[in-house]
Amino acid sequence: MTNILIYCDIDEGAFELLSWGKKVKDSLHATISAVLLGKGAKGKAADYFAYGADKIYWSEQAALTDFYADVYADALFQIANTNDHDIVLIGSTRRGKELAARLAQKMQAGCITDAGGIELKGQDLVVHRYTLGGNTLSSEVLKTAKKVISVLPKSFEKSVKTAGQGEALEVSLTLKEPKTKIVEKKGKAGDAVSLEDAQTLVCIGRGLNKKEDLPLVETLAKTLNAEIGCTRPLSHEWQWLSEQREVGLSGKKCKPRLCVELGISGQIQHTVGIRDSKVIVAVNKDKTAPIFEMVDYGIVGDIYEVVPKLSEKLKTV
Amino acid sequence: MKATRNMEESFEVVEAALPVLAAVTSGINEPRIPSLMQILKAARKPLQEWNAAALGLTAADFAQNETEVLSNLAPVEQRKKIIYEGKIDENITSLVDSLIKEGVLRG
Repeated sequence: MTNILIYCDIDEGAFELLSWGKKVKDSLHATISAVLLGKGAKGKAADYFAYGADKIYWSEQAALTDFYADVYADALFQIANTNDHDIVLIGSTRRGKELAARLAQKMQAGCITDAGGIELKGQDLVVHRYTLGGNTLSSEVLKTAKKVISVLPKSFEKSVKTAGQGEALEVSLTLKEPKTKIVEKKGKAGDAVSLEDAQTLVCIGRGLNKKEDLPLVETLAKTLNAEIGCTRPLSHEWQWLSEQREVGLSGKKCKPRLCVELGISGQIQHTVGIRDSKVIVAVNKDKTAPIFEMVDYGIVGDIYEVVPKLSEKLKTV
Repeated sequence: MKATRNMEESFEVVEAALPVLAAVTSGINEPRIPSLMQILKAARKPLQEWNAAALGLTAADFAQNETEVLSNLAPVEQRKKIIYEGKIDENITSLVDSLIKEGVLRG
């Protein structure tokens, strides 16, 4: 009997992991449990059951107010340890990655972070992840008896909610003071865009000369009813677009039906974010750009010339 | 030590007493370009090598590798790779026609 424990600091992420767990639990002869920590934990249990949790461990202890990875790792360790969990799946959010490493150390478990998929080979879990800066896809197994795997958001499809039921257990944890202290929280500029859910995506890269030229992209996006994404220089170095619009290894991973890449050379750090698109189109003036190696359709040409004409043409469709 | 962390939904300013281990993201600082003099001087700096024996460690002190890599390959791209060059207006028409056939426009 395998006991799988699931935790993600963002509920959506936990739902994805639970959906996967529900699918594989019969072949693994496994039980799927989830952990809910912090204020409002108990109230979320019903949703977690609906996505496939057999059992919930929850705690609303005051020490779990802010997310301190050392405290949360302690909490998860105590839960995993006393309830005999060998496999812990954690959502590979920024917090989750730190949590996974710390927890694995405490559990003396092997650890793989940023998994993009998990495949069953008999009773073994074969983990797929991008390595060498996203240039290669590696398949790995953990040889240790206990395993901690952090899984990137959007790696598994969220299932349909069902009327699930299970046991919700309150746990009493012995928690220490965190070693760091959050002194301030600053909100980010509000851009509530959800690129991961976009059906159509238009991405812009360094081919754009200046911020003032963004309407070129916006017009096309509007015509296509698309969201706008970008490469890292535009969101981080030049800040022409918000961070939430960065697509790639350090940004969002998107699965649109149509992805249009404008003025993007095709660096792997970006393209891992669009690789799962159904159809990829690129416009680039350099016909040797690597992006043309991974598109369905490409137009060799200057975006300043092609994009306005493309927008016009699409309006007539 | 005080540091700002860039989390998904907010920035967190975090404080910790020393000793501290901090992992920083790329772009934290712009490395300056060393002058010729500094490059020449660098070549003359002593290099200290530490090996396991110098640190008083044996093979048994090192953790076993906990993961086994089964394969590590370039991802397979299965794309049509239809590239249009030359006459832009014609190319745009062909592209839009193809996208309609693929059924990826609207809806």
